[in-house]
Amino acid sequence: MSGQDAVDSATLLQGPWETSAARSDLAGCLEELQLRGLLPADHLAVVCVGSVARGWANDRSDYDFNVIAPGPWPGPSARTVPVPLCPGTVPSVVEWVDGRRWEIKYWLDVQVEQMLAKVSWFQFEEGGAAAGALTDTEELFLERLTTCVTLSGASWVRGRRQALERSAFRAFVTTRSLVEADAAVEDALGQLAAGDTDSAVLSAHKAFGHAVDALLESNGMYGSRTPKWRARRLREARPRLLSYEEYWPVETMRDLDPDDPATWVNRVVQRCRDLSIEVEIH
Amino acid sequence: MGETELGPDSVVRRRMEARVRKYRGSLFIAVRDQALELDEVAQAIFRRIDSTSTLREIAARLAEEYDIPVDEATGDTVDFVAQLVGHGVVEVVQ
Repeated sequence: MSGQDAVDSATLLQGPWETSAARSDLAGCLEELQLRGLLPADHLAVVCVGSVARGWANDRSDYDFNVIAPGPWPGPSARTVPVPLCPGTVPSVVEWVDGRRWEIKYWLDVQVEQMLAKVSWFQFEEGGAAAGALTDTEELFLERLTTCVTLSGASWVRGRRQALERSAFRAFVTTRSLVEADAAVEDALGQLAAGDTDSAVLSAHKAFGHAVDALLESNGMYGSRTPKWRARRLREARPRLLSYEEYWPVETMRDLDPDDPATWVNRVVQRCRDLSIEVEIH
Repeated sequence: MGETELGPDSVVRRRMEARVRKYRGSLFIAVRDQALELDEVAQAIFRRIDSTSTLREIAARLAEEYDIPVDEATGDTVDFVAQLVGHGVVEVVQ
């Protein structure tokens, strides 16, 4: 499918996150991008990502788009985002549309292939998870593939989603969050033993956040690079192992007794350990 | 903590230093430079360690779940937990 064909036949692909409200909001975006000369003629896909795509946006939210093409973006860019890929940058353009900030990133198909190769099962078995397979920019791109609203290039998106599902991406990010939780737990225990209770409270809180992220990622609910949406993600995922009613008092530290913070630290650290036993890496 | 201190009425807890991963049906536990892989029954025992149940109580639930004699389950549970204590994965509470 050529880029022009894709635009002409553009349909908003209904996916698990593509709510009717989000699709309605985005109905004119593809045309607007095209009118402003922001779409390469040979683009493979145009997707809306982030809070707008997930239906979590507010009046101040940016609109974020990813454009994927076989060749480099020929137009001017506001900035380039460095990535450890070849080519090593992603051009980005910022536009203001009706008072709303739009950011468009121009990815190459070959860069997407390289990111998927980094999270193969072979790489995972080789122990790549501990080293951190992807940068935050790369991880955001891949995780947002699962939740994007497709404006153009439904077949490309479908194919890449399937490739991502077959990859070890979920195992990578789940393991990474578990490793981060472990590190924070050890910090908390060390600080508690040293009598640095305040620091132990912060470390236990951090550990809990990572443990919750691991649980969500194990369930295919990605997004630990944007922790501001953790509560939203938990509400949607409704994991069997952790209710929202248990999660929220810990996240907000509402149940911390200022006169006995050590008890809170021990309880939270224990809960992190309990969760790590049940979080499936798969 | 020696294995001889363990008995059916012992209570143990998982040590916070133990790191656990659940991967492809197995449970892997790492403490310091040691790593253990637990099979299904071992996992069932490990999960039931809650700092309050005696090994006898854990074994009773195991016997019911796997339809095995209670005495056999109790012996297996005590033996397995003794190994965990030896590896520093759990510690005796009482």
